[in-house]
Amino acid sequence: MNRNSAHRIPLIATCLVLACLLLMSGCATDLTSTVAPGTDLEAVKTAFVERLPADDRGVEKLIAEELARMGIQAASGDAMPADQDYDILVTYRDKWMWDITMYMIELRVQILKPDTRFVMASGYTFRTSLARKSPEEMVTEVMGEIFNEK
Amino acid sequence: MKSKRQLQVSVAVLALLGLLLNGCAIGNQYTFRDENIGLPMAPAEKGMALSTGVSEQRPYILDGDKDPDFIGLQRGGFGNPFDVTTASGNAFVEDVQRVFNNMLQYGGYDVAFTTRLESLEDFIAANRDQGTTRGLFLEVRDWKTDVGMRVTLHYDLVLTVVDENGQVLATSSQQGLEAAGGASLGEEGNGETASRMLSTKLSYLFLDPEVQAALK
Repeated sequence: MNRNSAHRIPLIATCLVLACLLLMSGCATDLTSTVAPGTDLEAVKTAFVERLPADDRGVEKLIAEELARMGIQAASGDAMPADQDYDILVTYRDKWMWDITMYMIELRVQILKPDTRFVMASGYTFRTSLARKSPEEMVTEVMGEIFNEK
Repeated sequence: MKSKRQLQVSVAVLALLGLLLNGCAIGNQYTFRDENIGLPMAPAEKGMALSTGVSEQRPYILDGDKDPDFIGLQRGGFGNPFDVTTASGNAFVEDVQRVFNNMLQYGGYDVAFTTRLESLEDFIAANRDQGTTRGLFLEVRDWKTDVGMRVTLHYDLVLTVVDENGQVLATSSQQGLEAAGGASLGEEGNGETASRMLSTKLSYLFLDPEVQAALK
């Protein structure tokens, strides 16, 4: 190894560290859920998905469709109708980022007791640009994680 | 000459990277939100009058190792820890007290008297002349988040419910070491996670059937 190549090692190491950091931040994912002790989500038959006021992409409809696919009778809208009973109230919060196109970077879903808004369960999915999925897939992923549907 | 310059550039880039990574970790503060935190049981119909007491029992606070506004650690780029504190600037138990009281009021109860005292005995004595139906004493024995690549929560909360004579009616606890998902790049996201975990753990204290029975 000559003197020039020895001095290139720090430069190569720097490039490697930077490349690793870029890759790590570019394809980071996370998927978690929490269910309150004693909660039986298998008993859920009906659900109402409350639209996030700032959401104009229709994520509430995607969640309702996913619940229906799971066999739960689901409706969605701005607020739960006072004259109807539902087993659960579903709220969510989505975050979007731009990287060539807009994509959903994270989706957090909460399953609430309709009368008290107690958080019975919650789920979270996070995907950066290189690991991005469609909003439909993000919804399927997080709802499956909450309801333990593998 | 060229190689020496390359070496200097590399060292400068690595130092800058280190600064940037640590820069996100220094001086983080979290806000604990208190709005609309639901209890697992139906609201008390007539607004039962409650006294509440919150006690700081975290050993690292009591022995002076950390300040009362300490709420956890944020790891720098090399895993080095930096203290995270409350955004309010208050002692953590003050924030807990606010969240706890608002949760009870949102649940339909009337928090008529609230205090911060060290022991259950002191709380019972202070509560004796308040004319409330129940007293709720919350001990914060442990609470800290450790944020690196993931958020980890260390927690130990104990709730004791007493009647107007100081008789213990129920005790409930939540304790553990729990991973709470990936860390965000920034204190806002991690603060939201910490805030959500505090409200969740506080609400779980009320899942105990004896606690629920004592508050009906």
